[in-house]
Amino acid sequence: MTLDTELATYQRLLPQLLDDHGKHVVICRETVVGTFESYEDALAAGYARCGPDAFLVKRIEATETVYFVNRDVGHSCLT
Amino acid sequence: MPHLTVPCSDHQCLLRFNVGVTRPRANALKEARLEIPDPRPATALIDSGASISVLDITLIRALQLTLTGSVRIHTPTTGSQSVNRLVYDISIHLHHQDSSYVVERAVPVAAGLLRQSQEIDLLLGTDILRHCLFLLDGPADTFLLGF
Repeated sequence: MTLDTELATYQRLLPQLLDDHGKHVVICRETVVGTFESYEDALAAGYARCGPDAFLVKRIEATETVYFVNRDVGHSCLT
Repeated sequence: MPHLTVPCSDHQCLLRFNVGVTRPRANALKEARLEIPDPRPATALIDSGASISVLDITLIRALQLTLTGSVRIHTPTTGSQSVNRLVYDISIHLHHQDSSYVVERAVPVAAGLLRQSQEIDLLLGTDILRHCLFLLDGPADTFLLGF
């Protein structure tokens, strides 16, 4: 299970989404469900639209934040 | 602010609490007439060197979570590169020791392998700590977490 379609949609629409910089966008397949101030509101909208299936919540940023973890947390392909 | 004072364990800040599905996910599961997994006990290591929290894959599977995000992450094993890491939404339930005060908060967590190698379930990073008061009392070998 991946979010390839949703991530590609996010990258494609990022120039327009930057009008809502800092908000959280919800994308279900190729559809933008909406943008939301809080993570909790974005989650609620995502589950209301997609049910318990996968969807993407992403903070809208011109340059994506890289998070740092100083411990080894294993490989990256965990589903 | 309610707080817990906890003895350190081998100079590490370890905390037990419950991890469950978020309310929106519980609502979606109920709507789809699917079972809502019970919250699971978890051992968390407070790690101010982690800017995102990480949950062990065993709990992700036990809670039957589905993907709700993706982040770029840099760890000691990713070299000079950052890599994409899958993200899930969970609720954490912090219980105050002397009262029935409970905090439930929805947070995004990256998936990781922690239980096998480090005997913890959750790396509690600064993304969650920024909602809390965290004090480490080194000489007393205790820490305080206010929430």
